[in-house]
Amino acid sequence: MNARARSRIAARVAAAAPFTAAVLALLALAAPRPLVAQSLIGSQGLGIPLEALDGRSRAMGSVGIGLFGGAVLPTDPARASGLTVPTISVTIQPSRGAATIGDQSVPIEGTRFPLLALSYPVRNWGVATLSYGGLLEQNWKAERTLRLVQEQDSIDVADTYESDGSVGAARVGFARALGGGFSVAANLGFHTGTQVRSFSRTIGVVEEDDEVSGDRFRERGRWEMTGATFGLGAMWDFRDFLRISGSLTWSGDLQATPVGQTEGGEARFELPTEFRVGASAMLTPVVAATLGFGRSNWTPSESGAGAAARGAVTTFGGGMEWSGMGLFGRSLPVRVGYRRAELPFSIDASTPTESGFAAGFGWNLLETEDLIIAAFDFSYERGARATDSISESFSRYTFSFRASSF
Amino acid sequence: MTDAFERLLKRARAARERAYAPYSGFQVGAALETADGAVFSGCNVENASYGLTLCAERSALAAAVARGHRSFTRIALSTSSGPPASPCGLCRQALAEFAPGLSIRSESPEGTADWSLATLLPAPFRLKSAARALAAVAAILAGACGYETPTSVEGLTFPVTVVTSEVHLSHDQFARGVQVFGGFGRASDVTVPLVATEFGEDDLEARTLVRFGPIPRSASIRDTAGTTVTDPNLTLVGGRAVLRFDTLAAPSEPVTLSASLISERWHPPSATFVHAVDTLGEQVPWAGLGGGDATPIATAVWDPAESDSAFFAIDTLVIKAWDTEDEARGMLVRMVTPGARVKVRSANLVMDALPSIRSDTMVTTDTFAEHLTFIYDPVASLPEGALQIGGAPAWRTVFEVQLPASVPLVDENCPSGGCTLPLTADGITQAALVLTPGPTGAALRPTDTLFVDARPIPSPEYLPRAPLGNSIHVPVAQVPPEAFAGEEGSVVEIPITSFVRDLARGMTEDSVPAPNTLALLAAIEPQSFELMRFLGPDSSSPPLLRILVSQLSGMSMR
Repeated sequence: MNARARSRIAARVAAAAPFTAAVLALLALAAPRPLVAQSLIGSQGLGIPLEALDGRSRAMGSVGIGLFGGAVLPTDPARASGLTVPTISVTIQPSRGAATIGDQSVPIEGTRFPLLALSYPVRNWGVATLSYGGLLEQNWKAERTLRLVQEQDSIDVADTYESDGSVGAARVGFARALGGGFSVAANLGFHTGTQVRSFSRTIGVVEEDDEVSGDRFRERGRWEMTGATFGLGAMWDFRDFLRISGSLTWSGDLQATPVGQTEGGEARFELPTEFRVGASAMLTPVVAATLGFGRSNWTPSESGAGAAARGAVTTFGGGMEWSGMGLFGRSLPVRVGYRRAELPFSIDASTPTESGFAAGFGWNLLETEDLIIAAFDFSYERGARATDSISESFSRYTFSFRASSF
Repeated sequence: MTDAFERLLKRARAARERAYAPYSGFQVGAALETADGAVFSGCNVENASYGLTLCAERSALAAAVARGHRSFTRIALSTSSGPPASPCGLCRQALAEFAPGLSIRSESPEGTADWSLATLLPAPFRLKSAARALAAVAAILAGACGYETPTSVEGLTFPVTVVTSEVHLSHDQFARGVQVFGGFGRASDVTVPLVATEFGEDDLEARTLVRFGPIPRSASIRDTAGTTVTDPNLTLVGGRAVLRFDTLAAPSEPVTLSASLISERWHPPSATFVHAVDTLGEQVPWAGLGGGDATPIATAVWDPAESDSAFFAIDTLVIKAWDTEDEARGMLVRMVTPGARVKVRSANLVMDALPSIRSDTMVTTDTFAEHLTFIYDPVASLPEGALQIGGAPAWRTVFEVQLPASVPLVDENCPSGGCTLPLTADGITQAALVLTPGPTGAALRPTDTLFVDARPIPSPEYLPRAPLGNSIHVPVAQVPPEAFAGEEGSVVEIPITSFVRDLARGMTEDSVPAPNTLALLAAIEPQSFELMRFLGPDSSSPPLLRILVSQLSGMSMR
């Protein structure tokens, strides 16, 4: 304790004013400094959208609808009708990059599991699907230093805030080919996830041994998320040249329930109804092109207290696939794409967007005629998210593995 | 400075490009830098109703204040035409509210100019006393009772609000049953004995007692052939008793000490100024106070400027007297120089000896102190109403702590009064006892850093010898000697956060009832002859309990 502090306390001792407390004024020594994050922009609302897309969709800039071939995608439920054999697919998505905020730069990184999907043909009625896909994800941590000031004295404190959690959706669905190139599908599921937020204020300079003293204020909250979701999809194939797909996903309110001694009560967030439409066309026997568009009517929230802080957002993207290449006797389609998405929250009154170019390839490890038995897809995206005050550049890698007839 | 302004000017130019000045055509951009380096820009915004026009400086100021910044270092202005413009009167006053010494740089196509706001507006308008209070109340009422403390940087905001309050509980409100107990440990446990005479206000008389270990009778000698052999028949021909002193506690002038031969039985662990033996089963006084009728054997002068040791010449007869296992053997060291005090770090006996196998040479052998202790007079007392910690034997201060459930909150955010601050375990962020050092004579005043341990007493019914709980705060509080130098306003803080937190909870973290009795004691008992004396409950500066309490709002899903 310095002499000034001693004098101040001595003055108080002399005054001997009993039973009083005084709020200490705060003086910021350093503004919040991000320590770690998957995305700083994702510090808003319930986090950054984590779309349940596979590596092929990512590589072609797709919004998750209208691609040729069969797949279990919650955003394109009708596409599962083409999976005539049992199929399982797994997607993993590491990413890394850097966020810049003012003069500060912080690395961002994280690994996501956007999609785990299973399909099983039910006689000749159609295809049953089961999937677990991402929706929103938030993972960031920041610290700041403050000075608590009263009269002539001051106490330095260090604050740390951390938010970690994600929301995903588990769905069961059914897709059926109706003939004439038409397919329809529906899925039903529920949202689930947890969110943990914690704050700590440490008094004074922290030495290694001071951990024992416990001169620290901590608060932690944990919430569990639940909600319902329902989706419809339709797809039309014109021979092998053209495919047009559309889907509509409705979600009920997302209910956040505090767990244990968490204070703050329950919260309810309106999730959007999402509409997507996409199309693919074979430009040559080995070149396909795709375009897609999506719109989600997030409920705007003026206070920023919702899952999102702005209204409807749109996403569009497209790309191409060239299937004329092979490796070790197996086809190796090469893909490129571009995609741009508005993010469902606002920071400093600006509307963040995410855009980026993608490239990737698939490797069909085992295929018979037009049925792919085992395949690996990889996508690399280089993109950016930006607001007026925060910019993030990222490299996102998506790996998908699919196996059929197991 | 140049680089810092260049950065600001860049932002000001960019803001100028966005200025809305259709009526005057005079576009202005401003960039305001906060004390922590953030920059906020603004531009002039004109209006068809000319009086509503907003200057670039105030536009930037409003943006910064809205982000929680209230301390600024410099501002840069960029104008579209004419000579460099200085802030208008309105802006000068507005800026002076937050930064009267603000540095200003203005740039235009015709050049650059620098000013200080203090120069442009040497006497800004300030509200005084009553008017200020009225304005504060008005501002508080306008802001209701929220403890909003915006702390954000552009784009990244802590989503919670935390308010930390400082609570001061007077002694009457948190403590009762103060007791001070002495007699823990013995002087012989102190590793740095004293030698003093007529020292300090209490005329401290302290004497060091040394009992050397066995006198060596053999040594390794190199014979005439160059071979090292053991000679078991050394002939001791005299030597020196060497006392090494603590140079950090050295007197300013050379001091003279005397050494005497103790000739009566004494018990090193229990010897006091009065008793040569003072155990539970036996109490034998010295033949004379302070070490009995010891026979003088030598004197020595220690000059701290020259060395850290004093040497007492010891003849063979004395060595022979010590060459026994008799419990009467020993050396008594007295201070001869009046008003002086020294601290002894070690003692050993160095002897010269003639080898039996080579009488043409002399070798040196030595033995260390088997026992090194001290006796002193007078014994430290407890002044009326004082608290005492440490010393040898050591003192402990014990009292019960009680916490109110809440305390009144004195804060501008609660102008109407009636606000209270709950003292909850979760909210208590730091707690410390604040003690004011009391007057201590030179003999007992600490000369080195002492360590105060605070421990709970789970079973106070066994006081004064009640078992102690674990240390409340690790590491224990360090109290520098300067705290007892008599400086006005000096206080000592002893952290007891977990103890107070447990009290507020009613249970410890191990789910046992929280003890409410607290002991303050030296971390090592006894660590030093010197002790820590503090003002008691009835003094002008009684003990105080200082608590930092934090409250958080906004920890919710959003």
